[in-house]
Parts: sequence; structure tokens; C-alpha cells
Amino acid sequence: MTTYRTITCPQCRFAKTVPADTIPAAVTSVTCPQCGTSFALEEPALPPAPPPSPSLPADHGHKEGRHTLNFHFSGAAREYFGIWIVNTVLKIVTFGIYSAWAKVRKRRWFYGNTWLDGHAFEYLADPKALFKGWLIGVGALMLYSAAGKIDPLLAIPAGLALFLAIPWVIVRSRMFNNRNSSHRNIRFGFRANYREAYTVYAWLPLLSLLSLGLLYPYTVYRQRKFHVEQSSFGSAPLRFDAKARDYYRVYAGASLWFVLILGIIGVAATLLLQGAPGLKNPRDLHLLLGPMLVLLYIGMLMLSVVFTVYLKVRLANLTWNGTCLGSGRFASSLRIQDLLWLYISNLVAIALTLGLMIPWAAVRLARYRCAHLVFIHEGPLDNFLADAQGKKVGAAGEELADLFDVGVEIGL
Amino acid sequence: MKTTSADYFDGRSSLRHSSTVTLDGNQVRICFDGQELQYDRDQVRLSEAVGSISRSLHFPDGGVCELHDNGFTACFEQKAGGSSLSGRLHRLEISPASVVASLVLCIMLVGGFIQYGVPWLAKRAAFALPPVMEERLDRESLELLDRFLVKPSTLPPEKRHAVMRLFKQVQSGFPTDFPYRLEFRHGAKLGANALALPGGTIMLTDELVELADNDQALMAVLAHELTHIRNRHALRGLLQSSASAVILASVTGDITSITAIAATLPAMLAEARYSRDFEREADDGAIQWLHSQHLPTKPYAELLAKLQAQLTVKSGAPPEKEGVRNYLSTHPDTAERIRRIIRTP
Repeated sequence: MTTYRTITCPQCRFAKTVPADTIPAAVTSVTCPQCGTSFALEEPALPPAPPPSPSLPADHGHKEGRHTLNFHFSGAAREYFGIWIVNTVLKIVTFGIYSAWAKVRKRRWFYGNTWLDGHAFEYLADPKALFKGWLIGVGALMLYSAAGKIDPLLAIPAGLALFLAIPWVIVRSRMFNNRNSSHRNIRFGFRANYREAYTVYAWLPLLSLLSLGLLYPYTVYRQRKFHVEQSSFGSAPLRFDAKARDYYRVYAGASLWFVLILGIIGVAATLLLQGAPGLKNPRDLHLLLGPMLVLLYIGMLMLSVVFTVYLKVRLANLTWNGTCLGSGRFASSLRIQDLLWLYISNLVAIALTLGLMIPWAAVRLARYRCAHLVFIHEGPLDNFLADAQGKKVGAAGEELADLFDVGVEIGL
Repeated sequence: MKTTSADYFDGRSSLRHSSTVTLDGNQVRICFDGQELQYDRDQVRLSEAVGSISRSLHFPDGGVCELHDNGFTACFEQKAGGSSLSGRLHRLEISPASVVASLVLCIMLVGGFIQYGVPWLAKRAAFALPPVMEERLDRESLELLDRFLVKPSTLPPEKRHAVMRLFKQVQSGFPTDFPYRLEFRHGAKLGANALALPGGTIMLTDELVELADNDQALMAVLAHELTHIRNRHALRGLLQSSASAVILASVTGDITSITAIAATLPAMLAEARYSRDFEREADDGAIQWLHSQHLPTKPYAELLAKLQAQLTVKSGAPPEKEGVRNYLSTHPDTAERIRRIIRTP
């Protein structure tokens, strides 16, 4: 296990976090790379990083010098409504050309309203770069649909090309978004590991299909692991210590719910059939068809909503709770019943207002998400360093992911 | 000169420096931890405003200053002179007037698209559908209707042959891109009715044949249904009922995706929730055919009136006989249609 040490220059307060075992034991003094001051290296001030434990203590308060830094979302739905409606109209009248600018404005607003330790996040993407990516994406989409039109046989190689492009697109999209997100003027990063991307987004899904889904939880585990471990905050990589068996547990729980609700629907249908009065005549059976269909529809809707929310919540908690950065780690405490209520009320509000409540729904989801995420850390977030190798990333992957709808949702 | 306190980050580490920023003429000065940095104002970029998020100054060396003072940002922007695109967008987004205007415009655009755009796209998509698909939809719809709504015809064979001869006569006046077929059924719940299926099949109920004691009226009905088929009304109606399917079909050119909503076709045909425009078009087709054959339009109008009378009487029946339907219950505005038919010489 690696422990980290933060060395801070007493002169200019420049700080650097390094793995403790990279400092030779004989070294007693160091020279600050920032101001050139030489100073004595003291004994490690930090206790060793906490042992990786998948289950976090329920109370994450102040403990032995550990700080719980809360995420916080400050945006008001009314303000976002203005941004949303103006950008929607502009997108419509420009036939989508404006979407790059709309995306940047939307993300700038959401990032700028997300706070950690007194500082907001910032989205830095250049809309012009996104627009170039959008043009490439639209071109590819047109080519893809044209291939099927010219000759139905061409749809097969086109589909295969799309399948093979997905891992690349996902990596490029993550690189673009991380590179353009910052906190405390330190940009996030994503290391391009295409080999691993093809393993988790092409090879493992194929194997999980062949194994009739038995490998599916493992695939999800590897995908989440991939996303966390390739990401970095400045030069500090994010680490992941959740276990594959925890993902199997989540899917087992979800299956249990699935069977339970299916059972309830079955029992309700049976009771309805038996309890219906005066059904001597089998010809009257069609009278029951209406209520039966309604019941079935509501049941199936409930089933899919509960199933989706259950998986979303538990996977999000599991993934965040397994994510470490520097000497700190994240803790996510989403609750299934809360999110179930949020989703259902959002759905109803959006349906009743023909979509006008979408901004409100998005804001309340963001507020809830932030209110249930903390970063537990030693002291303030002062000692992260920028990644000097960080380069500009093109936006083609990001826009392709959007247009072909292959983006990975890691928001929650 | 304008001064404010701000958080400075040098871009190399996440260490926060409490600083003061001064805007002095064409110079921006930042003081922190006993250091002072100075830049030309043109080199410093103020992050664009979105909503009320806090803004920051970006310096050419990668440093960033997080500002908390709106007065300072306003001052900085004023000095920058002129209004940028993002500044104008920001004002649009926060002004109540432009937000309300956008809302109205958005509703009008979406409403206009549903009113005019969807039918237009549906028409294009329906005419682009390969015949194989239409035949399949036709066959499946007929099977479903047979199973749930109609019964085998009880008309005597000689009557059927007579109607079939009329059908052949009318059909010759229509384009040959469909394998037109005439099917006889006992309407039962559908009453006196005629349906046009997408692949060229017309279903005529015994009740309608019996009610129309006049060959010319029956031919007009057949011409009306053939016009529905020629103009792909069944398919267009189906596509229009689902705007998302239309958009999908038009954008991707993947018309087969409508199979997802094709299951609703028999219900739609039985309810015949055709738009008034489709009915008007079909009536015009019938009238045109009658004219081309130098036949009077009056018998057709009389048949419609007779159907209307039947409908009115039946609707007044006791509640247990509710659900009585015929050709007209599914074709609205009979009075207006009769007037149109009679008006044409």
C-alpha cells in the first residue's frame, strides 16, 4: 500500500504530494522547485493513508484531523429556466448549430454552482472546439444512416464500425470533458488507455453476452474502475478500491426486487380475475381486458422505475465510496426512497407541463446529488499539483458520443 | 481605479492565496503573500457570465483569480468596451421579457411543427415506404380486425359479384401502384362502414352495401376509399400520431422503425381518427372520379345523409346499445361534407 507525503516549502508555501517510498531514507533536506529555498525535510506529518475499506462508516464527521468537505449546489431553478429556454429556442432556430454554445453555457452554469470547500468548479471548454466536433459528429451520423439507405447490406459494416468506434469515442469524450473541468484552477485529466477501453467496452460486453449476463456485473465493475482510475485531478490520479463482488451484490439485490414486484403484479392479476363478480359467462371476459391492461401497464412502469433507481443509487454509492484521491476519499449517501420520489415527481411534473419543468427537475436532482456527496480529506485541498503534460483535446469524441448516444453516464 | 479581494490560484498547485486585485487604467495588479503580479488588461480574460455564477480572471501565465465582487466585474467589462456575444446571451437569459418571449416562441415553434411539420414529414415518409412493408401492415391489420371486430360476410354471392364489378370499374380510374383488393365483412360492431388499409385492401361491411341501394353511391364510397389508399392516408395518419416516429424516420431514413407503433394501426382504422383534411381529400377524389365518369354526386350525398340519420336514431337508443358506430361516426362533419358534395356541379 502506498502512503503519501506532502512536502511544503516554508518560504513560498509551494506544496507537493509524493508517494512516501520514493523519498530515499538518507535525504534530510530538499530544494523547493518554485523559489529555490533549501529546507530541512521533517518527519512525515501525515498519518498513512487509510486502509481501503469498501464499507464506509455511516458518520463521516470530524475525526482525528480528518475534514469532511461537503459538496453543495447553489443554483436556483428559476435562473436556469431562463438559460434553458433561451438556449432551446436558439438551438431550434439554428437547426442545432447553436448546440455547442448551449452545451457550454449549461455546463458552465452547473459547474459554477457546484461547490466544494468554498470554491466552485469551472467548465472551460471552448464552444468553437465543440462546434467543430459537432460538425464531425453530424457528418458521421449522416454517413452512417446513408450507408443503410444506399444498400441494406452496407448497414452491417457500418454497425460494426460503430461498435468498434465506441471505446475510442468514450475515451476521447472523457478526455475532453475532464481536461475542461477545473477546481481551484487545477484541471482534471483522463489518461488515454485505449487497450483497456477496448477490453471494458467491447470485449467484456461480448463475453458477458456469451455468458448469458453472468459476467455483466463484472463488466460494470471494470467499466467504473476504468473511469475512476484513468481520471486524475491535476497530477494526482484517482484510485479505486471497490470490489467486483460488491457489484454482484448490487445486481443480486436488484434481481430480488424485480422478482418481488413481478410477483405482486401476478398476485394482483389473479385476485382481479377471481374476485370479479358475475363472471359466469366466459364471453364477458373481455370486459376485464381494459383493467387488466391498465394494471399490467402500471405494474411494468413501476417495475422499470424501481429497478432503474435501485441500480442507479446503489451503483453510484458503490463507485463513489470506492474512489480515493490523494489522502482523501469520497463518500456518497444517496437513498433509494429519496431518488424514487425525485424521479417520479420529476416525471409527473415534466409530463404535466409538457417539458417546461425540465430545468426545475435537473436542478433538484443536482441539489440532491451534491447534498449527499462528501470528500473526506486531511486538511484543506491545498497540495494538489497541476499536470504539466496536459494537452488540448479535440471535441470530436465528445460530440460523437452525444450524437450517437454512446456517452457514459457517470454523473450520479 | 478599482480594488477588490479575491482568491488567487497560480495554476501550478491548488494552494489558495488570499489576494487583492486592482484594476488601474490599463493594468491589472494582483497582490498576494507579499508578491505582486501585473498584466495588461487586454491579456486578461474575464470568464463569461452565466446566471449568477461567480466569475474569474484568467491570466496569460495560467493563473486564475476567483472574484466575488459584481461591482468589480462590471467595471472590468465596462473597460473592455463593446458587448461580446456571451454578454448579449447572458442579458437575454436573465431578462424576464426575453425569457417570456423565448417561452412563447418555443411554444409556437413546437406547436407549428406538430401542426404543419409533422404532417409534411409523415407524407414524405409514407410515400417512401417500400411496398413490402405496406403489404405486411395491410395483412396484419386485416388479421387483427378479423379476430376482434368483424365477422365473415353474409351477403349472397350474386350481390358480392355485383359490387365487385362496380369495384373493378372504379379501380380502373386509379393508379396501378397498388394491388387493390375488396374484402366483404359483416360489420357487427363497426356497423355500416368502409375501411382503407395501407396496402390497397378495402374492407366493405355488409351493412353499408345493404344501406346503399344505389350503385352510384356505392361507387362513390369506393372511390373515396381508393383515394385514401392512393394518398397513403392510413400510413400518414399512423405516422402523424407519433411525432417522434416521424422525426426518427425522416432523420435516419429508417422507416422500418415505425413497426413499433404499427400495432396501433387497426385501432386507428376502426376509430378512423383521420384528420378532416384527409376526409376532404378523399371526398374530392370521389367527386373527381364521379365527374370523370359523368355521374351525379347526389346519390353519394344522399347516402351520407342516410347514414347520418341512422347514426342519430341509434345514438338516441337506450344506453346498453351504446357504442353504435357506422361510416359517419368515424368521419366527422357530415353536414359540411354533404354541402361540399352537392355544391360541386
